[in-house]
Amino acid sequence: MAAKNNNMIKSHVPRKTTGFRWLVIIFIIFSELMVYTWIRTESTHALLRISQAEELLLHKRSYHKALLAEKEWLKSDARITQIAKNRLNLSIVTMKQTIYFSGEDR
Amino acid sequence: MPGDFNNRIRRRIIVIQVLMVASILLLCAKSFDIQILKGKELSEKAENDYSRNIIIKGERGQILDQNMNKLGASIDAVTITACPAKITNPGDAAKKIADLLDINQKKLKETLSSKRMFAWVERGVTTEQAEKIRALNIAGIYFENDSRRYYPNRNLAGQVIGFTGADDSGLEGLEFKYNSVLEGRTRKISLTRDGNGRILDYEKKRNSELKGDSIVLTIDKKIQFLSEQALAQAVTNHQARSGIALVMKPGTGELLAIAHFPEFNPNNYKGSDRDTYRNRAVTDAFEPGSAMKVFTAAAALEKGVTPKTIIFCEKGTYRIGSFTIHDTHSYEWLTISQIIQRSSNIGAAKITESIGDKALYNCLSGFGFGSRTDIGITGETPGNLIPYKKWSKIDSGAISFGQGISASALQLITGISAIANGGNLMKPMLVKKILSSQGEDIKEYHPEIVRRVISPGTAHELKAMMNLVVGEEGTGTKAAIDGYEICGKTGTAQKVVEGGKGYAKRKYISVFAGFAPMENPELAILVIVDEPQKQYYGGDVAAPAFKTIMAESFNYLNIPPEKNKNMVALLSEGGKN
Repeated sequence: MAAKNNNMIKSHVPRKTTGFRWLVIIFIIFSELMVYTWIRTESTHALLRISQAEELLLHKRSYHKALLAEKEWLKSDARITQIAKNRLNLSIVTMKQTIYFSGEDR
Repeated sequence: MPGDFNNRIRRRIIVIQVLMVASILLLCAKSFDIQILKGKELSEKAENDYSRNIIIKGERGQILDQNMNKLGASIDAVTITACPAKITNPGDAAKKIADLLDINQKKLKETLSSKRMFAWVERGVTTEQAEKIRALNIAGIYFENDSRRYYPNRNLAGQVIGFTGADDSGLEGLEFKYNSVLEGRTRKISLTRDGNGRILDYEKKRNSELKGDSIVLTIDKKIQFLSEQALAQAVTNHQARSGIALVMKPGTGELLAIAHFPEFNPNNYKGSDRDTYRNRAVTDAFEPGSAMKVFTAAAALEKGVTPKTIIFCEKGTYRIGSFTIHDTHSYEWLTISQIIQRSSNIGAAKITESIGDKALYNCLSGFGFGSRTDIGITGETPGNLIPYKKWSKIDSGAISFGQGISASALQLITGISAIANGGNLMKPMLVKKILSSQGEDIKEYHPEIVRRVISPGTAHELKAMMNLVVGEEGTGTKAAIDGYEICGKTGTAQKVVEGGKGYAKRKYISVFAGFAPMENPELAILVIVDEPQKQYYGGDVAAPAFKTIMAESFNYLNIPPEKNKNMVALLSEGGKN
């Protein structure tokens, strides 16, 4: 009876090892699938975040460019002269901007 | 019994194991099929859904003045397109969009009601407007990043700069002539889209290396503005039809200003008359009138005639063949200098009679009349200088005082500059250099002497004569500026009847051309006023504008007075911005 039991144990041991190996393979494949899926998802998220950041940068850059153009207009001579003449009632006195001193005053 | 049970369990385990192995094998086989056998085909199919190939174009380069101020630049904009077939309620969509863009609602409704797959809604829309339309969430309306040309100084130098069309290509002026330099380069790229169809990496690929090159002009924004203001005032005060003013550096031929009146705003060019788009200083020829007498005098001096040579001026009336020419005043004996100073037509005609037609023709063609300056602006006129062998007697007389010959404003200022710089005809310059998108010099243009036209001695004597014009008894006293020695020449030419023969009555062109300071000329200026109504003499109409431009430019450039050498002049601070 004892000998029969020993034989049964011997014959069962390899079977258990084979099943375990399969489980390990399945686990590895499943894990690989999960990791792959996770990486793809993260990669897509990262791509989206980069895209959103780039869009924000583009928007800011575009706004900056528009502001520069506006600055050019704000400092344009036509605008400044108009304000000086119409709002501040200033006038150009080109001919009177040179002051002469006689040689003795030097 | 326990043995049967164990056997049953064992069999079940074997079955399950077989099933699991079979499933895994199937999965592996399918995975192999998808990943390896059909991998390429499927990935292409997927890519087609979220990516596509398009041709992108870089931003257009800038147009800058000589101090790197922007005269023409590009700003970001959005192009709105539609797929009318996908729009469920075209009327409602058209109303909402038209309200936001301030465009014709009826026309837009027609566009959106068609069954086409593509239609333009509006190009060059501001990003703010585009965001508002995007917020409406209308199916079938699409947005694409684009750029729009913007001229921050509006009317300033509009005829010189020109403008671009809806497709960002140059249509007029330098925008047209230098289109190949300014326009952005194109590249075919693959774009990735997200689930909502948004392009993910567009801007990264639309990088600066695709940006067009920029051009730096010789134009000085400040002097351009001063010239435009003075010209506008002259044209308005004299109820004239139009006007042109040019400012040139005589030593180099650099054009600092090309002013036109009436002006137009290139940002909204459709709102202006097409005639105002043209750079008339280069494209249009006119009879310069008495301003040509300085070139007649130059021909005489080169032939050995001295400024003190006297000529009888026939007391104001002189007959050439069947024609009679007149002076505004009755003169008897005048020196060559006095002929220029008092602008005697008879004196000028008699100078030509003494030196011969060939000498005058050679001198005028030497100064560049009758041929293009090759400044690099489309549609440049060569003017009209008939070969001397075809001149009749009246032709040679008339040409000597600036009738029967036509020239562009550019030719005239270039000729006057040659006298100012001591006798070298310079090639006029409008573009100083071309810059890459990274700001590096690609090409630089340098002053170029075309030829020597008169000797330095002749130039010196002509300067003295032209100085008399602005002094007492001269015709151009209104151009005099206190403290500076100004050289100039007035011109008043009758206009040819449009589409007819002969000269129109009461239609004149008033001209004043000159330079200063006399010893070392810094600026040469030409002012032309077309069809002034109240007064018409160049000395009354154009000379005051010349004076204003010259005085204000000197003030801006900090060019000190040269008269009163025993006095010290303190200039207010000018300076460039």
